[in-house]
Amino acid sequence: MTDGLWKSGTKKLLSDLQGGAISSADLQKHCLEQSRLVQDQTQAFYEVFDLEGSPGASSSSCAAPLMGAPVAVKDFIFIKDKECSAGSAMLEKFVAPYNATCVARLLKGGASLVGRTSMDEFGMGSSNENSVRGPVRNPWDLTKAPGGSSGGSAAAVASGAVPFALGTDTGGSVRQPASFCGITGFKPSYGRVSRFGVISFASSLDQVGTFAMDAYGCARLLENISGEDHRDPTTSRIPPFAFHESEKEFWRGKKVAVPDFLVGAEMDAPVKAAFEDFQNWLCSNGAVVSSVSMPLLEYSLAVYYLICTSEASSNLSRYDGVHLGFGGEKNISLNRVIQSARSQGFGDEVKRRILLGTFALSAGYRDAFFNKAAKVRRLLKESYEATFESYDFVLTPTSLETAFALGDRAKDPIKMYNSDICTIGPSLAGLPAISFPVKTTGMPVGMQLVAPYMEDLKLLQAVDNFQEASDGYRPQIATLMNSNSAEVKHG
Amino acid sequence: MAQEFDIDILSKLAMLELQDDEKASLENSLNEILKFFEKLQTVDTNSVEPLFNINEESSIIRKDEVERIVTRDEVLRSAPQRSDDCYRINRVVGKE
Repeated sequence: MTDGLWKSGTKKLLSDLQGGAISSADLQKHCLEQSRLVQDQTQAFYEVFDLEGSPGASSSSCAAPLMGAPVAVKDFIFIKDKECSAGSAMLEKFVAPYNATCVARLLKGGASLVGRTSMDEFGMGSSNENSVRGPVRNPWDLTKAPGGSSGGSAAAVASGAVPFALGTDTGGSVRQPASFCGITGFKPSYGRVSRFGVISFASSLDQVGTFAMDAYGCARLLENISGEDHRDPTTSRIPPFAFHESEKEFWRGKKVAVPDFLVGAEMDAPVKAAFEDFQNWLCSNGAVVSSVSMPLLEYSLAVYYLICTSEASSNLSRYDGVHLGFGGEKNISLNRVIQSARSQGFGDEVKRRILLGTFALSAGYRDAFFNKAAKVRRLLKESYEATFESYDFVLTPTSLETAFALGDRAKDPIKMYNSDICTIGPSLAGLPAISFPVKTTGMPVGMQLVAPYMEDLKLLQAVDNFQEASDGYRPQIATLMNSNSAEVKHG
Repeated sequence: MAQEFDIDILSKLAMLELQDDEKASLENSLNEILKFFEKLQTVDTNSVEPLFNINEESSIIRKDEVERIVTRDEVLRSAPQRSDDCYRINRVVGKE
């Protein structure tokens, strides 16, 4: 059903678009149809646009860098005049009044937008089960979670409906679903991409990330949306990169650090096997892989869940039922309007995190919790910097497990939080990080590479080199059948 | 350090109105999560400055030029209650 015109990779797709072998109008129509087809089985989208209502569809030209490339957008990112729900009942009727900077840049670069993808409510979740409209299903096995919070975007790409998608990544919300869905997901350095027009979850951590089958696709999308933005003062003044492939022998002499907490760590057998295989691949291609002590990583989950919940409790205080959200009850006081709007509008996980953050910031506790976490965060960042003095990359699996069954974690928030153990460190340190699939049997497995701050280009080149190598691994598209089962295939 | 959440105070601060069953379930999970945070107290952070933002450049300013991004109508389109060009709110003076 979803054959994917980009089975040979996004480089060929973009070159076919540029050369006219594929017309952008045909590709857009194809992606809109495929998105509707996969929707029944995956629930990846909140809305698939009509051709007439698809921003960018009619104006793409071969001269533009993205040449009509169809992109799905996580429903956390403003598309002017389209609804933007953040996966929440609170914003059910909200219509974005302007384009996010990253969307405006995508459109300027010639992309067309296919639809709005499902997500965990306000970015809070690792399974896309916290969406007010119900869970997204993993295209490789419809009984399993696609990961979260950008699970809809990951499922849309993995099912072959669209070649590109935008997500957001705060503690792993692009990388982990990329890993669970067998595609490539990139979180840039903090400040690489403007957050203007992106709904805030945790402002010192949030970044717009890109999904594609491969690193080349992630890179081409990213180079179009990166760069300083005067509307977001947290963006970096370092100029954006233009992607170019690395030399063939990229990995020769590269030094890769594997944090020693992974030695002996409990991980699913396929993840362990794939992790060892990838390290062997690196060594056979001339890299040096070493186990490195990074003891502070043990604290990263606690630091993350203190900082992100504190920032979220502040960011979500704007949802008051007066400017945004419910309202409408006539005979109650303003305070009751606000309380009842927030109580009805937010789901359990959001309430839990708001309460946690409120506690961590409250008088008498702020020093012991929030400030303490911020100090340990600095130590964590310095620990990565010290590692990068002797190493080029840090390598871990993206997740210690493959996609879990839907419903498995719903009642156990701590078990859910623990699934972020590998992705959180780079988020806290603001570092670029990428998840990419490696050869396995059964459900997909992703590896994560992390690079120094603002070395996004080098990181993308690294994975592109692996994916292009004859003994590397080319990502596959999941084949959805007409029935409820999916055929799990790997090349 | 053993801390306990007072869910009533916290929910008031957070402007959340919780039902009794919600309170019980949230209180349980929050107390579990608190234990998870206690290990941070063992990290020596003497003379370490907190890190609040990755890009620590301060006073980033832009030109003081007005830029029209939206119209009033576009913003008010999503207002829960609207009265002409204003957000409409319920009474703020008087009894709760």
